[in-house]
Amino acid sequence: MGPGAMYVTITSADGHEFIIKRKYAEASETFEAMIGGPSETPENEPLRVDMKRYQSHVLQTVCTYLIYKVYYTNSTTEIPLFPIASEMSLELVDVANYLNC
Amino acid sequence: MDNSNSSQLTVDVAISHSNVNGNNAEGVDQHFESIYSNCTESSESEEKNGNMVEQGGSVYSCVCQNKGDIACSEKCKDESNVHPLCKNFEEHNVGGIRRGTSRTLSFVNSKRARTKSLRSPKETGSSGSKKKRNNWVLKFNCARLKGGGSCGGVGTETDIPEPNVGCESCMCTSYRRTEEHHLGAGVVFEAAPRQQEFCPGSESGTSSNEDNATLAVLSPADRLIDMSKFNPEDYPIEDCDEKARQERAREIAEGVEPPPGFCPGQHIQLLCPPELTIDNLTALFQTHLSIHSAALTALSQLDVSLSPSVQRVVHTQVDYIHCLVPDLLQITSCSFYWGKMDRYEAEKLLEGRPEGTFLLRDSAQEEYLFSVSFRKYGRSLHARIEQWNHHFSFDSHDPGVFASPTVCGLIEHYKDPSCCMFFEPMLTIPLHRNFPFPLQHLCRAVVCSKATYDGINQLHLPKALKGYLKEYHYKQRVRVRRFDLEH
Repeated sequence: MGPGAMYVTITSADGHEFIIKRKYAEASETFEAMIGGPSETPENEPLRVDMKRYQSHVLQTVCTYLIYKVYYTNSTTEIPLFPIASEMSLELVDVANYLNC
Repeated sequence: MDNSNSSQLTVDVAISHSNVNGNNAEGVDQHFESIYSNCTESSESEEKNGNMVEQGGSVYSCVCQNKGDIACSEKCKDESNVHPLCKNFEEHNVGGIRRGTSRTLSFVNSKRARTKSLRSPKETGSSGSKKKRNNWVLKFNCARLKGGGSCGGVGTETDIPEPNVGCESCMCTSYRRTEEHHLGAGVVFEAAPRQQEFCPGSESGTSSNEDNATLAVLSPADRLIDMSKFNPEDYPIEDCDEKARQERAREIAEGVEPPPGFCPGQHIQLLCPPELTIDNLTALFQTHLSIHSAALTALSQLDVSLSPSVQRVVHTQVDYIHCLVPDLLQITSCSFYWGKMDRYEAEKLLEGRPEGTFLLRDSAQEEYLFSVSFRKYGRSLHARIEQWNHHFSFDSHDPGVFASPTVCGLIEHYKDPSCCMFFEPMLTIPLHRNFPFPLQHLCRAVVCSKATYDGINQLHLPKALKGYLKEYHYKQRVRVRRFDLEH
């Protein structure tokens, strides 16, 4: 909860909420800057990030990617390719560019 | 193997024997020396007597082999007219065809010598000859020399002993004229076929002479090349590889044919002031500011006023088409592709790795997209991947070098070490990347696999994002226009 919270809630344009571990969210430089700085969030409130510009299906893929990134960083095994649907690739490149991940 | 080859082989072996002879068995063991001295003795005694060796063709051979010498020496005691060794080995002559007089001395291995010593000389000669010949025909494939084994230098061709396995073995072949001739053994061997003509009573004389005709040394007249019969067109001296390289160089200079539907860009004339000074630049800047408000007619007047005397025009226009890397998605999925990395970092990663370890990375130079870094000869080496006419290779200037329409295809080709020339990359063991690519890069790879360069230009995306998507592209020179030559 608050600045020491373990989880981050990401809200999409269509009202969906994605709750992911903070360490995963921090794999995105933009998220890290958003949740890492001085926050006015009360101690008993979860960390929230509004991503109202983006739809939930895109944010879901982003959350999956963040977990993939943390999991395979400094991997000693061969890293599999992260699957991306071509229909979503343009929207995803936009949000990835924004999140700098 | 043809006739000439087999004779060449025999000669080589014989020369090595005579060399042994010439060294006077220095450094050879005692056993060898005793046999060798026997051979020399026989040579001398026969010369003195002027008997069969000189009659028969001046060349004789003496081949001693291990263990056989014991049997030889025993037999030698009983002989008186002919040299003991000669007589003995004439009886056991399995290499040459038996004749009335001894012209070939052959020391054979002990097993054969012993078993054949029990037979009568004639029996031994005929049957042994066949056996031995078949043996050597199989080994040296010199079937054409069947008749030649009867006498003289060529006759010794079939008498070459089997390769000796043990170090106790001893072979010595002596050719009398070799010692005499100042030019060495080669002269004797060349002359050998002629000497066969003097072999008396040779059973296979006719056939051996026919065979020897092909081996005979050409007369001086035959050696001359008749230049009038020489047609240069039959022997083209043009190097087709060099021709292909020149063609490629011309293509690179002039560009390739543009693809169908190619639409050249607008021809832009550049106008520059005659002398570019600070004042001129200031004037140009101020003029530029006023351009926005000025009418188009005023602009043309202004240009004329700026450059009244010299008008710079474009003389050469080079057109390029930009193409996205066709297999960026496949490249991205490769575990050995490390993305942006300089050579020093690559060398650090490859240090101490086994031969053939490699990685693919982005080239630091602008005109190249990718490079491979690999271990070869105990060093970390780098090779740029070049592109020409939509094909990737390690040397686009040489059409003979392997080129692939995809980067992955190129890397795949060099995975086989047997395909790699000593100067080419050897890409056998991939060095796995230890970090995942950014989501942006993965998305770009997917977009590039579905879109074209021009297609990305038409997307409704921020300019910076478009530029990011188009980053992995190559430029293909399609045409060079010379305006001053067109008119």
